[in-house]
Amino acid sequence: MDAATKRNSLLDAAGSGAPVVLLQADAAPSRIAPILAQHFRVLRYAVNDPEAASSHELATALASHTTDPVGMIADAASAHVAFALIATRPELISALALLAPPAPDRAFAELKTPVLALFGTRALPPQIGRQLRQAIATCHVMLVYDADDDMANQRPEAVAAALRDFMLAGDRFLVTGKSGKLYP
Amino acid sequence: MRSSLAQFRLADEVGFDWVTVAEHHYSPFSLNPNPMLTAGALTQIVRRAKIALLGSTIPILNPIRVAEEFAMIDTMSGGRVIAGMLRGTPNEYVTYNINPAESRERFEEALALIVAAWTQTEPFGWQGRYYEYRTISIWPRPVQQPYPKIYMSGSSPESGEFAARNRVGLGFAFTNVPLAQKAATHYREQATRAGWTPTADDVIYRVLVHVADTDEQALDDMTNATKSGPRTGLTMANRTLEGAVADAGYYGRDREEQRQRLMPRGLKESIDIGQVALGSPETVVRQVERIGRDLGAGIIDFTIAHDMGDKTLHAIELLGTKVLPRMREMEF
Repeated sequence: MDAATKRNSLLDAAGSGAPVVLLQADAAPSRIAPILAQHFRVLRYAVNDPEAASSHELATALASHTTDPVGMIADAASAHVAFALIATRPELISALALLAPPAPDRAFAELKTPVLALFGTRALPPQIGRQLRQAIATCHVMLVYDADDDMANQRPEAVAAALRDFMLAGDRFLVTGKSGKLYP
Repeated sequence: MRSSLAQFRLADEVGFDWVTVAEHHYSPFSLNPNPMLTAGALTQIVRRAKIALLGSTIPILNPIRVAEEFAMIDTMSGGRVIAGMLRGTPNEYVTYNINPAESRERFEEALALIVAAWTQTEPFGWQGRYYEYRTISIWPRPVQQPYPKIYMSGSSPESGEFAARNRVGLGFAFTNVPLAQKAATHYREQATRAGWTPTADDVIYRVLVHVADTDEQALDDMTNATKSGPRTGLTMANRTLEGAVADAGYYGRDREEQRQRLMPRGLKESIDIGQVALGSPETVVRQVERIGRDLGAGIIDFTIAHDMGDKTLHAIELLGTKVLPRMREMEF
């Protein structure tokens, strides 16, 4: 097994449809993956040793499983790998969602890919919205009520619903398609 | 409505620190289903006093709309808004067909959302339990930064605990001094656990008041004004409705004690337990001093018996000229 595959190991794959890659810093079970798998082909990767992981290695690992652009969801610890990949290979990612990411250490002035950052209201870093917008002008920020950085386990239905709509519609997820009609 | 505005104008002129408006629905005694509208009018006639909305019943409203309206009124008043956030009375869960069992959770989330709407400097979405928005960006923002002083109603232990955790002020209405004293003590204990100490101005107590030149005149005025008897309809005096809301789970762990707060009482008992302040200025000063001292409440919210025409205006004058100066000398 080469270093790239070792550092970016495929944990499991489920569902069908457009590919969505879930990056996490460990192999722990995900509560959002089964919900997302109802709509997408979900490929769950553990980014082992995330500090050493590189975008090149991640791109290589992805190429062995899919040739289509993917929707990517990264947790806090693997966010920097996702940032690195979208900086060098933006064509590989159709939409990028980040769970409690740190502010990126670079600006993405020309980025066209839709980006969504989710934060729990119980662990909301001050000024993070402004920092993200300064780095990624088109970044959407979503607050997940009554959760912290572990929001995907604490409020999986709420997190997955936002991710689903964002992966399906990109920036157009701002417009709800949910019916308000009570009875026909 | 015209006479109410005249009363507010006079209260401002004679030196009241705050004028307050409340939200009540389907209510013949209040006629104020939207306090934001009244407060908007008050920004144009009340020049000095703070305008306190005590308050907005946020679990039955759209929180973003509430955040926007508070911010507008704060702007229109030059930063004089006090933001009271209430659950509302039990009957009001019928008004907009909201499940009373969800009241407390809705309140807590709505308050968090309103504060976020006031303080986030960039557009943001909200993925809540009861509220979901994809992007929020209110304009204008409040003049008072980071946001206006917040109070919430706090008769139940759960409310006191939530207020303490969130460092907001606590208000008591439709209760009495012994029950409020117990609740205020619990609030202060919980605040200590949360690492802060509320000041006297963090506690508001609302009391029905009427002042006349003599005790006898005040009693006579009040007796005549309440001769028409109770008006129930869909108000909180409707015990059938209140019972159904109670059974749905509106109250918390001290349900029966909370229900007792709303029971009608005779005038003498109401005065004894601090629900009513009535008499000459000297008598009312003594009654208010006892309430303030027993509760450590820095803010007494007078519900002035408002439908007595000139007698109400005279009461406001007496309060402003003879009661308020004495209250300012009191220390709780």
